[in-house]
Amino acid sequence: MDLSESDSIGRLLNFKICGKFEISARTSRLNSCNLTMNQFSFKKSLFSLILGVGVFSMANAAPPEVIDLGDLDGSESEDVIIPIPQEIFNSLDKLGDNNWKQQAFEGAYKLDTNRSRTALIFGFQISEGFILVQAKDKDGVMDIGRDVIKLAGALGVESAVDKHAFAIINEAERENWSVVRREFDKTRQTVIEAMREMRDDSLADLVSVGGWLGGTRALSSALKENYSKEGSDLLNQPLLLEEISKRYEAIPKRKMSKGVDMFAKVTSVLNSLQPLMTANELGLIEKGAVTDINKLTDGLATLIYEGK
Amino acid sequence: MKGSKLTYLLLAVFGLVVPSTNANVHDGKSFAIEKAVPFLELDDAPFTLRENWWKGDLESGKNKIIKHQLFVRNEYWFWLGASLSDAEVSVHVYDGEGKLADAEMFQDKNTGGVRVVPKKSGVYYIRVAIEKSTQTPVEWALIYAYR
Repeated sequence: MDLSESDSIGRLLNFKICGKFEISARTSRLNSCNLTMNQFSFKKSLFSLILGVGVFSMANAAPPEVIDLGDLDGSESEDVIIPIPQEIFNSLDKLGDNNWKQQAFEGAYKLDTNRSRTALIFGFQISEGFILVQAKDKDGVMDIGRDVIKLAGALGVESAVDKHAFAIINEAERENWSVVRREFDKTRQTVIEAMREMRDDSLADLVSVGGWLGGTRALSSALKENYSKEGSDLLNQPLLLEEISKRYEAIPKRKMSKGVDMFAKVTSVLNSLQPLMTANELGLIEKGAVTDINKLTDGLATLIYEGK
Repeated sequence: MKGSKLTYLLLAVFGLVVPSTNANVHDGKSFAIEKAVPFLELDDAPFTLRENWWKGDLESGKNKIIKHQLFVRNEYWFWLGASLSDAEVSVHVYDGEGKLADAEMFQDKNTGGVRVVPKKSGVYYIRVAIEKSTQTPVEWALIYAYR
């Protein structure tokens, strides 16, 4: 390679490097770079060029087109975020109208001293709220808003939740559904954060578990009624199920000393859902699996609400 | 951090930030929300911001992968913000096979964003990176919205 030619290439590249990093005083710095290049030897130029290009690449790196999922070095998963039912219902509704009112859970509950059960019910009720918002059921949503106040009181987090619950009731009255949805999400998040602040991570996780189970129950119910291959894709949630199961199994068993049968049933249902909520070789969740998912989650909801 | 406080106040007025649950304001999150606001106020089909968010610290030049379940037919925006205003960040999304799934992206100093339109429901991998910073590690926050 001809030295002058290399030097020109080096100058050209160094020009670009300077152009990138000295943008605040562009003209004077660029001149300065060129002057410096004239004084450099080829080796020095090459060294600065390699170094410069390296730094340049790091600062402006085009993203890799592909990443190796088997080697996510130092990239442990953060807390997996549990989607709110609205995210899933939103997608299903783009395939056609669904009768969400019909998917609401009819079960009634009586609170007892078992706070773990109350936390599960809280999660379920929030997901019911999202279902009734989807159905634009004003009275139903307002009832859930009042329920939220009662449940938050039983969990000792009413002061954090009340304003959101009142917002749910007021905005439902005005049929301001987008705000109601946001308030349900805030309610859920506020309860979880309040629990964690009180160092009661177990109850926070139970709210998430209950919410996910409630959303899955309603989704499978809607799909059972109106099955489509495209819609069934929404139940393909192996990662979420794994996360939910992991959180549930991490809860100290002493927290579940009351209602042992009910909590053992949650474990059993989560295990049974694993193969059902993983797409088959055709990338589908078959109609039979949808029916089974609904039967399992609906049965579990009944058990939890009845407190058996 | 005068700007970020102003942003926070502005967002509190719009009801996007709840003081009681965000008693410790995260500057990275405030910067990210600042970028998100125009998308949340669209007249036609605005995005819905989730209350959940991620945060962490990263060394300059390092990245982190976060797993997240996305659903087909939805559209998502992820916004990344670094608490240090002179940091440079980037955010990209990969599908279940590890292929780049960005539909649109931007990088603007200590904020970045990426739009994703999932081709199928499943786990996606969000790659957050601190490309450059004078101080390290850098505190970051990632928020997202869907429609």
